[in-house]
Amino acid sequence: MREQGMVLLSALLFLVVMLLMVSSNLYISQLSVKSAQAAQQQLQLDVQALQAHLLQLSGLDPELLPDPVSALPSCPGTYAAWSDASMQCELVLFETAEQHHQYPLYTRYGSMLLRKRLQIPEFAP
Amino acid sequence: MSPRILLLWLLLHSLALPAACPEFLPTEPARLTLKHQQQTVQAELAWAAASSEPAELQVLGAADQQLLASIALNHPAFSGSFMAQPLAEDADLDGLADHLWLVNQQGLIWRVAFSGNQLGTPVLLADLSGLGLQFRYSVSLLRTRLPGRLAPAVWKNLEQHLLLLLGRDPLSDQDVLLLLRYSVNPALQTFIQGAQLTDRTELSDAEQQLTLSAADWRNLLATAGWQMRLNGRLTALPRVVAGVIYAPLMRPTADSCQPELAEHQLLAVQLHTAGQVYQSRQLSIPYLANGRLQLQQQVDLSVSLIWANTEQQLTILPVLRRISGDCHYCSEPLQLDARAFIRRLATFKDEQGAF
Repeated sequence: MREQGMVLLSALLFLVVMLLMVSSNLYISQLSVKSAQAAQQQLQLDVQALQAHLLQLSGLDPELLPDPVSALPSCPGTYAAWSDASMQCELVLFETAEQHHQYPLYTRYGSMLLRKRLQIPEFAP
Repeated sequence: MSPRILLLWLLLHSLALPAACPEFLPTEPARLTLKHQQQTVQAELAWAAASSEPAELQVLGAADQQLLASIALNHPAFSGSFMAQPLAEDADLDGLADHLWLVNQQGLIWRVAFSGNQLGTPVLLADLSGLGLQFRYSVSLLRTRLPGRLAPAVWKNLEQHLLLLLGRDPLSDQDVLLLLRYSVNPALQTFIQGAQLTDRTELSDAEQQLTLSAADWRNLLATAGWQMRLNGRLTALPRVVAGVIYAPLMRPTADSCQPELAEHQLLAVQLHTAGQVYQSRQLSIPYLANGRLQLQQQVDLSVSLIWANTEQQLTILPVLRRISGDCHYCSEPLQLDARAFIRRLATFKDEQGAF
């Protein structure tokens, strides 16, 4: 009977020690805080990456665009239409990526752009 | 001959140009891309000798003028003789012409499937024979989209094909510019008759003040198209630039066809309504032998219209305008700012390589 009580007591002691070790480890590493923030940080990075992507798009130099994915046979219809074959349309894929400055997080955004090209002789003075 | 007929005959002759003014318009073959023997080739379409019966369409290689195919229009639906260039349509947007729009001299218009060496069953789209014109030139087939802000959504056919044609009135020997509107969706395309076209030869006083009311605009765009009688003859086929039709026009004097003695004008009309974009729809220009209209980009990225031949260059419109969907009669200077030529279609998060 006394032996069984010793086993129970030592098992309880072991559990208490383990509990102390694990909780101190968790406290030192702040794992729970990190796991709670991870999703939020990913979301924040997504929003930042999207904002940066749209900003880069609005200030984009058309000459610096990557090569077109495909040249369209005819331009989509517009109100101010052109009859000229000098108007050409192509699809361009534009991508940007953003990395978190502290944590290993990484997000990419891509945009499909329609680029019209017009070949008109330039004025030569 | 009764006196009344004699009087009519005299009246017609006093109005008419000299009957035998030669043809000024150059004919250029229709160019298109098609699939020939499993290969994508650039080709030209031309009508075989006018005497052939039924009419025969020849497909020539654009590079070497080699005859690739000869297609007889032997379907019983076809009638009359053909001179106007066939217009190619790429309905499935794969880069290859798959439909042709054919216009015969009497003004019957067909749309027919085309596969490089044969034609499908033609669909009659219009009968303009009631106008009494001769159709020897087709100008172009344009794909347009009406701005949602101006056109009511209930119209449904905001995406349209605009067929631009040139007719010749044999009595007065003057040209008539015609525009026919069709939905891009073949199931919504309706048959058009000449009488359904709005006559835009004369503008009302209110419209001459550069204002086209919203109601007028809607009425105009709800019709099947428009026609405009030109008081003269075109010396080059019209060209559509940013929603405005430009063409050089010649008005021969009553007793001579000499281009040097004639009055020359530049025709500039709005594509959708035939309204005015500049101060007037017809602007006077000087005579140039073999003159051609050319576009020229300026240093400030605006575009000028040049009236030029091999020796001379005259700027006739220093700043071209572009029609805008902001209001029913709006237009703005055309700027070749490359940024305006980029449109964002979609933005998406790229999961590949992300963590």
